[in-house]
Amino acid sequence: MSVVALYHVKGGVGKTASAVNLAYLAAEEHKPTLLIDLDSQSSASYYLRVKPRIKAGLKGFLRGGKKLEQSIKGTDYPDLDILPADFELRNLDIAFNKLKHATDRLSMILEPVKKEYAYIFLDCPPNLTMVSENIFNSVDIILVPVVPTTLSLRTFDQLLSFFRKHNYRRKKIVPFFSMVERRKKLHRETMNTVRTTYKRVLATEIPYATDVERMGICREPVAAYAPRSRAAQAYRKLWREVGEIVKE
Amino acid sequence: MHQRSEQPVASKVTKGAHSPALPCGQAYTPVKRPPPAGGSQSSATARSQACTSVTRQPIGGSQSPATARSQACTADGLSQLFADAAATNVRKVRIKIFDTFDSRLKSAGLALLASGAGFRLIKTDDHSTLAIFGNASPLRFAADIPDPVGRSRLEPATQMRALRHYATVTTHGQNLRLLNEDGKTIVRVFLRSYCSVPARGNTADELSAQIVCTRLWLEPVRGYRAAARRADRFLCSNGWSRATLPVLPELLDELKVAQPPYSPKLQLQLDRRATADDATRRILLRLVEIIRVNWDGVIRDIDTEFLHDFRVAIRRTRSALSQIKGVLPAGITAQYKRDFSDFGKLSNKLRDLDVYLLNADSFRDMLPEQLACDLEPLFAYLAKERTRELRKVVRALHSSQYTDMMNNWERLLSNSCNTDESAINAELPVVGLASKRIYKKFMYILRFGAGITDATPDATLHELRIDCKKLRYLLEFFVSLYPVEKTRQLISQLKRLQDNLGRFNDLCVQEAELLTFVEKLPSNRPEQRRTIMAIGCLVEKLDLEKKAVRARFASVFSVFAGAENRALYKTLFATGKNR
Repeated sequence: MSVVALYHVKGGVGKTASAVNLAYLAAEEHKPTLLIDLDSQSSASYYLRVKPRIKAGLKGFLRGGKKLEQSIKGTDYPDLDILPADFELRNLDIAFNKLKHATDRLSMILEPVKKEYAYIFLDCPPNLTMVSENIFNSVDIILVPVVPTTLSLRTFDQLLSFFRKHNYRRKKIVPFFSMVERRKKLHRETMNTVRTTYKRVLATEIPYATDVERMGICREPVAAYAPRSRAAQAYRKLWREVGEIVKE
Repeated sequence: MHQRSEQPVASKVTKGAHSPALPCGQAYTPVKRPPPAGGSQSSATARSQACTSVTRQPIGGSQSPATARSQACTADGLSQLFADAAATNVRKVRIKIFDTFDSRLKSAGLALLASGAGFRLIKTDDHSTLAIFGNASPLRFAADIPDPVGRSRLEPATQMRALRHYATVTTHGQNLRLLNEDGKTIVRVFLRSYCSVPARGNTADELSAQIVCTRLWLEPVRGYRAAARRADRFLCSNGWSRATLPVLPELLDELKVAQPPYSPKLQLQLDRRATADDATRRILLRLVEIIRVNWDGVIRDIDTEFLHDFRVAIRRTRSALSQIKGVLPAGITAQYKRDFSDFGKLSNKLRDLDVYLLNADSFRDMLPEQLACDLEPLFAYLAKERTRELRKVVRALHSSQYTDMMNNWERLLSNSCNTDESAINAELPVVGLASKRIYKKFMYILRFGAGITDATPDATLHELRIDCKKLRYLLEFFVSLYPVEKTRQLISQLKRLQDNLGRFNDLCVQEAELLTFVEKLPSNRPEQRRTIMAIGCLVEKLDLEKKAVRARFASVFSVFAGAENRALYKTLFATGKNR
């Protein structure tokens, strides 16, 4: 049983697309898989055609247990379930803050769900808040999609220094390059620099591709509607790499 | 990529297996509507029309108008019912079904299916797969299956019987996904029809393929229970009902309707008030049926049980002719007793050889390891002899002499007005005659057996064995006239005695015959000496067992002749005079 978060402080780096595709590919191996949409923008839920609603809203989420399990929906794909987002999750941060053991709340909520699944993927909101700390505490690895641009790298550095400062296990952080445009010299150079300084970067690069953007129209994972596309193949390769780490 | 449309969820367990796994979820079956009461239609037509709309619909090539109709009542009907559905046709799969001639797999709750690349052994009640193995074609005996799991599961169930391909079905189907307004799957529906295909697959016959069984499965999607409930309500009010029987047993049952199951047992329900003449004819006609049914299997040498059942039926016929006295005219009785005796004798040697070869393994086990393989020349010799004997038997069964005899015999039995003055018992009620014969035979065996001591020659035990057989046949002929529980007890008691006598006789015969084989084996080669030594060793082992079996006779017989058994025979069969 492994919990994998798709997380970055910065938005628009391909977290949701990666979460949906990786979860889909895990389920394709007949491993019971749950995707949890923690982002109140509910993009992951939208991609999988599930209405963004949790029973009893934020309260229901915080309480966890049976009620929350009832909010889990089967997707169009065997072995892939989703816990959809809810608009009320935008206040999750504040809600956690008010509670005791504020940084371990998510672990408590996830605990009973874990026994049902082989993999749980978290699609996380972009931020560095109490919710993020909960995520750091509850997952086995944190996949960070890094766009090879200055701003994205800067925020990645912020994340690393946050981990150092608060004594989180930095080994959990596994970055990979996302929305890569190989024809851009800047992208290539940035990737080379990062690879020399940070050894844990995955080999797979997810290309910047129209197929990924079309997920919003098709409302399906790329790997489902265009399995032979470059993007789908990249996700497949990424899942193989992630799978290796998870198995360790 | 997910094969979400082609493959139902359940298939993941057995992906790549040789026959399609069953979908999950609640199963539904088409309701067979009863014929409308009264009306001008005859009920038979009404029923056939009612069935047309759900099952029993010929479906064949796409050009057949019948096809369109049948699909309308299944798939299209569903599409209408489920307006927002995405449908995919499932690839047609052709499945061959195997069983022994006497349906041993079915009785053991198993089904052996073959499609495409290989075989799959399934437990029928829960459709779980017990073994998957590749093509061992032509598949004949379970013992020949190279896969150890398949072999170990099938061998005990089939024993010496050959597996034969007795039916072919094709599965047709559709998978539907019911969608909500977001185009999201909320219920999965799997529709499967199983059509029987006539054994010889010519196209004209294919058109007459019949849907023997239709199933529909609703698989709810997590979090959309209300939708599944709606679909369930819809199905239940539109000609479907929840299935109570798993699909495989139902399918096998339906296929059996076309091919009635075979049993070597008499399975007759005689009327206590019937005349002896009537009952005897029914018994003999049933035996004719068994003889005829097994004829083909003997000729084609499918397995050794065909000959065995064939011979038992002949022996029973002879026994009936001699035991049920004064019912058929004396001349006829004498003639057919002779004729059947001749045909029975004809296959004596073949049956003996069959028994040797069937027991080959136990013979090998009796020998010390160093000698076990030295018996092979003996078995090779026996196999050669068997081929020769079989040719002889086949020739005799093809002869006009045999065909004429059987035809005349059957005509004679079906024709009830051929009694004459020698048939003094013909008009008596059967139960009186049966009781008299059974009781008399029983008393005879008691007297005979009581006189047997350790000094009695072997031949006398052989005679006793024959008499026990006669009693057994009498009990089996008339079993339906008496209380089931009691006669079952009597038969099992008698069987124990027969087992002892039968084993003793087998050992006597085998011992004597093995010694004659020694003389027939070519002995000029030096390696034959080892074979002869092995046979000698075998004879010794058989002799030891023979003595042990003989020693047990006294105790087995004393149980059979015990007060309890006597009393039971007396209450069931003794008539006024004998009491």
